[in-house]
Amino acid sequence: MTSTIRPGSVEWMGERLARKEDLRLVTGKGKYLADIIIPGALHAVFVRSEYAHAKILGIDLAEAESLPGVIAIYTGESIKDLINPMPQAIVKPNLSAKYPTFWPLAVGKVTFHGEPVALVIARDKYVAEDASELVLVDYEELPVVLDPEKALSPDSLVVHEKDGTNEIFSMTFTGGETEEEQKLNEKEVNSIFDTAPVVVKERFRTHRTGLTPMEPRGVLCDWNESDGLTAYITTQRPHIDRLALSDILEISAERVRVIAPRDQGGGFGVKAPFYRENIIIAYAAKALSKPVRWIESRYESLMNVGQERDQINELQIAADREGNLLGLRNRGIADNGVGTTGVYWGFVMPFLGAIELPNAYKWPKADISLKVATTNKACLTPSRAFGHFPTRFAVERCIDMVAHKIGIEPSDLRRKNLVDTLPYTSVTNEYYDSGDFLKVWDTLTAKADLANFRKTQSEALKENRYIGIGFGCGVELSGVASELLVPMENQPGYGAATVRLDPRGKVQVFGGDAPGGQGHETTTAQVVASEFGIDPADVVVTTGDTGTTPFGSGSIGARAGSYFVSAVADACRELKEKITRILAYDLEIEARNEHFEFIDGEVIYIGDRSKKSSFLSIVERIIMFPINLPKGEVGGLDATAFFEAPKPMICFNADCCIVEVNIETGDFEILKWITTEDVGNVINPLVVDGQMHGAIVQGISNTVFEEFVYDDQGQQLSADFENYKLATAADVPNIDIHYATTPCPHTPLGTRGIGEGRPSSIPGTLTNAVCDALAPFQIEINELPLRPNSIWEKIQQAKQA
Amino acid sequence: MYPAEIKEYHRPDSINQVFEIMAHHDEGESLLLAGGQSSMQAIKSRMLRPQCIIDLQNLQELKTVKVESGTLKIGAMVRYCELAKNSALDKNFTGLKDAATHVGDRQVRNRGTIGGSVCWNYAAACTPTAVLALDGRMHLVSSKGDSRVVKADDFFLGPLDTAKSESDILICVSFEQPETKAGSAYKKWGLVKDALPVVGICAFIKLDTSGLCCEARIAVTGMGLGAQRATAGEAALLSSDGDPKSIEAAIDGICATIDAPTDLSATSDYRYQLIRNLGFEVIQIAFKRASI
Repeated sequence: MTSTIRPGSVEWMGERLARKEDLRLVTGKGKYLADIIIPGALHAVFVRSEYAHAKILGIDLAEAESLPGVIAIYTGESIKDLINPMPQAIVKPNLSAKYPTFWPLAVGKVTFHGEPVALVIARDKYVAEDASELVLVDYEELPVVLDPEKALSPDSLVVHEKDGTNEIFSMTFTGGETEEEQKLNEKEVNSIFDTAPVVVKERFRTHRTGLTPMEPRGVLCDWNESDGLTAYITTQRPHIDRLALSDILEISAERVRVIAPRDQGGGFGVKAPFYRENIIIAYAAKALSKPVRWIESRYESLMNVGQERDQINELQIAADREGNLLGLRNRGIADNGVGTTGVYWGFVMPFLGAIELPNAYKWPKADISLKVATTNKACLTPSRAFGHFPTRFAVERCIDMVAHKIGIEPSDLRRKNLVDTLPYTSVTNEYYDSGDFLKVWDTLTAKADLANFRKTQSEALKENRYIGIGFGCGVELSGVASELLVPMENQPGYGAATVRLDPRGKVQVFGGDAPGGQGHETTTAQVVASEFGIDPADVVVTTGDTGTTPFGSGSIGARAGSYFVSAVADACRELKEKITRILAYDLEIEARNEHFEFIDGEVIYIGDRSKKSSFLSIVERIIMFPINLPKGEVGGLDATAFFEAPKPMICFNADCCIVEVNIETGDFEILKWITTEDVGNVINPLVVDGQMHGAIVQGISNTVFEEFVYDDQGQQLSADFENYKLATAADVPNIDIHYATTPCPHTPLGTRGIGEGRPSSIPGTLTNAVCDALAPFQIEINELPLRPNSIWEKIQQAKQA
Repeated sequence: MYPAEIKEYHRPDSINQVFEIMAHHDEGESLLLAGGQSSMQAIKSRMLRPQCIIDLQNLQELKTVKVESGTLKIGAMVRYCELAKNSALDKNFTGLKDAATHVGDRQVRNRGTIGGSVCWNYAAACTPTAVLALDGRMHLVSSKGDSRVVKADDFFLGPLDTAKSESDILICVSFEQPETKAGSAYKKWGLVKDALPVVGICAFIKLDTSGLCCEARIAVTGMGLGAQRATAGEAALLSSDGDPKSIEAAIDGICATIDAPTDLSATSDYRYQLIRNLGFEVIQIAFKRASI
């Protein structure tokens, strides 16, 4: 039995190791949901609403049902007495809100264009699609609610009648719990604004956009009496889906197994909610005692999920003449859509967006509140930069405007007000555990060389070329601590991992989260290899199967680099304790774990390096030959660890970009993008670079190209990629990445998670650069998307004025 | 997004075989697949529901580019990627090359064909615009054996509409080599680089022996009507040497004749601005290319 150790010692932490999963992914050997075949599976197609708001007068199934090959057709009426409606506690946050009651299929009326109305199940996908065209739904159109501000007015038509209002959620985030405390805070903030020498007050509108995973959603459910329900779901949180399916369908939990396929084509938050489609597919599999599968089309996907960012933020900043920030005031309004999505309900994103509004700046006082309106649109779906893409845009833009008003460099104003002592608790009570914001910032500005840029800029202007520079930054969650996740989503934040050694010296790792391409197999293997002194090739990682993995809340909020790998390291260390206890006994030495080194496939006693064992022999001995053990020991090497830091953790990034605007057309080109990041200790820079590339590209694409569009009847006009435009490689710049790391003191490896937030700093950074280029016209842009057409219009207006 | 039932799929080797298969079907039942970069989407979304698909990719006779007695003939099944690098288009027909180089994305350019594009004639498409400006001729053969040549001006009837009938097959697109110096250019603007044109313009300029413009053809797309000529603009260029003033006058002419719509991609005013901006560049390049 030989191990595949590479020659010489390798420090796997920090190694730019090619991703283990990539060979199969780039050669078409990945196994996605649609690649999982269960013989005899039936195929399901949803009939979806053609209207944004309409009564269902009746559904004629006769013709569809008579089509050969059709097995069953369900409608809201036919299932409403058989399936519990949502919300159930497992998919409901600990936040007071007007939760709509709904079934998997619309009952009585439809509330957005694309809502599931009926489900056709047939022997194959073609028959199912044919039959879905024959389902005749008789609608009576109702007036639509589309404008979030109008939706909140008392005389507005109400989308969910039982609530008597469209205000699904509202909250004040600053100034305490009681009304009295809040009033006092408001008064104090008012007096700051009344006396501040500089006040900027602007309205920021961010459009409806979000994320579009390459693989749309899908569900494949299998039922049999002995095992119960096995549900393959494209999901970021299989363990939550399992509990939700159990509770809603009243199937005892031990009889429900949810499996997120090992390969998923992205998630980005879109696969984090518990969706109504899961329920009806599982129900159908049980009712028919047949496997049933549903694969979402791109058209359905763009109409139903991935829509976020839709907010209005009326933001005010008070400052003194030196550029010290004195106060922040924000009145946020979010367009929630219908709110019929488990776990998030739409408003959880703007809720976190409001909490994260202060960003990395010291605000002595703030008054921040939010109202969220139900409308006849698809429900907001979590999308990377969860809720705070809009609020960061507002703050980062507004800070530039304050700087312009005072007449100082926006980057200087930022530096002056960055949080410089950590830990720090923000004005919205968000805890920033550790890091060095100034180091990250100074690394960025050194690379940007602002003084030199200003010279280049004025030279260029003489040639009628308009170039500009923009800055922005972002404090992001590094994992979501229970302290935040319990109130926000009614779920725990800890990370969990099982590490299992086998008698051949190889390692299996089991995690309950369900990644979608972030590189868990590689980074986890590097952590394990580093702990045990073995090769990452000897480590395999299994995720997403509730039948084999410990409970985890899912692949959300940058949990891998923060919580999951920490649990992996802790489990490895627990096993190392046991290995060294038994090895010391075998070697007849008095030594503890810290006296041993795990390196190059060996476990070596540091006091006398001739006293050692190969990793393989000691592992085999403990698992297979558990005789002559020290007193109290038993054989076997398998450990599960749960990791939770005492307080929430963060990571920090900063961005700078340089653009050139063509003032004839408003077109702009990004000439340079520089980014700096504190991700703590880096496990694999290739993977972290990839996270940054992806996030920045998504941020640019959201800012400039992508937009979900509804017409004045609530019809969705952007349900294909001809109209919902995504950036391609040709549309984005090279990205210049610089690390400015500070090890996180609260994780065993000093790592931080990075997957979550970054796109939030992109819209502000990019728009600031465009406005800087157009400074001769004194143009300030408060609205997204940032398109050449609107930039050109602003230039025209400025020229006329 | 699964297609309606398709009963037959054929991949014939000759035009005669194509007609034999077509003969077994009523008009409108069979669909000629010439790359499929637009039609497969239409089939999957059930906008098209052909009973029978006749895939033309094995028709070697439609895949050649040749110059025959002063006429450039491009087979209907020549792909964009091949057009983009074919030196037979250099000099006079660079406008078509420009268009082919930026159609769709790399995957589309590797599969899509000139014949597929002109016969589909999408509301905003690069190739028909270039073919119209370059005065292309569509060589059609009908299943009854008749052949005819239709000038681009008569071929493109409107979005998704052409003079090709259900029983026709397009053999090639031809371009007359001008007897004097000529040049052409195409440019488009889209929100993303690989996008359908929000505005696309192609200009063809022919110079007389003294270097003055003796013929100009300008075609525009992106106005919701497919490729359209801008004849008022063309007139302004006659007898000019491509001086900025004449080009400005030509663009005024284009803008006066084109009705630019407002839609999700751009406002009307912005479209006019793009026409001005791209139009100036394209006409200038065409003159420059002609003068070489």
